[in-house]
Amino acid sequence: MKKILISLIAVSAILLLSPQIFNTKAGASQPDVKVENSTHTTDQAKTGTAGDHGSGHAAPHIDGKSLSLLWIIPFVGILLSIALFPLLTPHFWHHHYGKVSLFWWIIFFGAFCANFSIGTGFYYLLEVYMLEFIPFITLLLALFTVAGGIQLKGDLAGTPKVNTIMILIGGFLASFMGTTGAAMLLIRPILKANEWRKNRTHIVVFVIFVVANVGGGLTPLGDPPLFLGFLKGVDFFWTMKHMLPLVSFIIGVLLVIFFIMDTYYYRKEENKPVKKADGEKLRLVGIPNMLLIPCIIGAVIVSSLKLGTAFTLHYVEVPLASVLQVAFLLIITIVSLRISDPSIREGNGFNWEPINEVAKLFATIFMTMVTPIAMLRAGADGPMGMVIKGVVDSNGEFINSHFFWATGILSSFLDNAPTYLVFFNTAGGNPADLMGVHAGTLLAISAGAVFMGANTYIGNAPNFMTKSIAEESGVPMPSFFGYMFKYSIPILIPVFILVTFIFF
Amino acid sequence: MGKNYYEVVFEGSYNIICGMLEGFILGKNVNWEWYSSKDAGIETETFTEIIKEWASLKTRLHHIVLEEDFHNALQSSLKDRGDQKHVKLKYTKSARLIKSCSFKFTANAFAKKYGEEIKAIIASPPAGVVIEGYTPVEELDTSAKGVELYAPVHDYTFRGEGTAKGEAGSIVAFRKVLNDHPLVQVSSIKLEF
Repeated sequence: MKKILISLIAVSAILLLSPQIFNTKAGASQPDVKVENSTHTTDQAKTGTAGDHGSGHAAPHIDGKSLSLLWIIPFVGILLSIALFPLLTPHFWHHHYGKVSLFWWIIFFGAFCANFSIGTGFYYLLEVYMLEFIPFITLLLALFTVAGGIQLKGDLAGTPKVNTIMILIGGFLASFMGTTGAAMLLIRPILKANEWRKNRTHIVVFVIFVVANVGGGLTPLGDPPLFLGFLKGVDFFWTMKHMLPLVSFIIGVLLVIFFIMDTYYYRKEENKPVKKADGEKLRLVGIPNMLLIPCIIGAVIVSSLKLGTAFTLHYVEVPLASVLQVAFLLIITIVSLRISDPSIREGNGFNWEPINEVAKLFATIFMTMVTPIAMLRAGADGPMGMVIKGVVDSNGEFINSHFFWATGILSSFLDNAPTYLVFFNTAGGNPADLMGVHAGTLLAISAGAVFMGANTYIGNAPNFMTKSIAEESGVPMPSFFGYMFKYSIPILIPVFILVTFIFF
Repeated sequence: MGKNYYEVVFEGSYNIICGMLEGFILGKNVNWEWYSSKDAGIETETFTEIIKEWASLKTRLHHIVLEEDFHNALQSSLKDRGDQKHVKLKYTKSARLIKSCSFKFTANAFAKKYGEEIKAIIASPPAGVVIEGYTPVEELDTSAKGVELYAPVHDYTFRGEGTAKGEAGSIVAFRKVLNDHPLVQVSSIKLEF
């Protein structure tokens, strides 16, 4: 019944929106669709812009220049829903986030098909889901499943030294098993080690800073924005090579601050535990799953090989390498489930809900991103020219520090993956150019999206998860604004200012 | 009938005042109660005192809560010693009988274990303390069990707030018990004269 109601509201909204969208552009009485002699593949996206097509079939293509700004409403709507509903009405959101996501999807797709024809809508639907969404969600699925089969064990004292080492390990692992997996792996052992302490809030906050965010900056496996960049053609090792100095610098500074803070609070503790002589040493368990992490890296790298086309569906050529990547990742997921010790998954509180959430929400994010990205690709004269003008100087050169802060500030409040793509396309969206002449710009976008997700609870998905697990373990976590004013603004922002001066 | 307490303002060095009080107790060999407002979380300072402290850059006025017998014995001894000694009556700036004292608390827990801990503490306050306005709420949402990323809701929520009122000694002790629990927030103790 509720679904029917939501569908009716969505259809009504489409009917209300469509005439405005159709009539906003003078003279645009006909849908502005160009038919190009092309097909769109990931390989092409990796070597040029979406519009650079070769000869082939007559693939539909929307012209970003002639789009109305109203087309960003569903995209902004889903992002604001993700940002605001958990804060304002958490129980409603918990039970209905899938319906809210579906609502924005129907609004967008309905209006898109009504405006540009069902064929064009279907083309973009296939392109988005087959070339981007499916590889994205299968990677997250594999990483999450494998990470859920690994556990950090040991009788730890929760001293400043031990805590600092644990956060450092988590920061390192985040780049190879994803920030969500690393945070899930680390948060429970670190909470257990510090169970006896009264002041534990700062420890969880630094886990959010380092493990759930900054640590994920080294590879496309670490954080969804970087994987989206990889899907768009950014080389796997480019990210590692260029992000290493930044990630090392920020983690180094944050760990020094953490050690000083933790030492201060540790000294204030009244009842320090006696060190066990026969205590279990710190160790990772779940070795078979650890061996699967290099397999995931291999599967991701396979997708960048040029192996030709596996099949074509409604003008969309699906590369064989992409099909292989998805197949390998699914096999890794199944193998991980088969070989894992169930007690490890139980200890990690493993369930499928996080993947369920990502799938339902990102299915809409990816689809609704089609029009804003087309507008950004239209350049400074396009409908979103003001965004581009905000990050270029009078000579038309990119200002990297502006990219860093603009991507970062938006990533602090909206999900960082779509924010990364928005600025990736603001910078032209050409991976070859962005890895070469404009490497500094791509670095600024990557750093802003990955690092500044730590600025708020809503900046990156694992932040909320870490907070939630900590609260259930008896740690009093600050409110949304408490987190910002007590921790992220006084600690992270000065570090990011320093990063701006040193690196951009 | 509970004990009566006085809030006494002493002028001087904090450590010397503490030493004097402890020395007096040792000398009399009576186990009297006394609480430093600073350590016990008692709201005391007046706006004038804060300005004076800022102006002089040091704290000279110290609020101490003493039980009535202690206060009477101390004042009587100070009177007897006169003003020629180091410990003088004139350094006692004021003494007010406390009618009642209270503090507010709020608690939030997201696991049954911690909710039960808090409920147990609040359910058995020390003698002489009454809890007012305490209406705890417990919510269970079995669908929210497990790890979540974008829609995190706890499967168990406990919320409670209230006011604890009573005689100073018991209130100070109860506030410390609540304050020691990481999921309970307490306000400073308010005194009424």
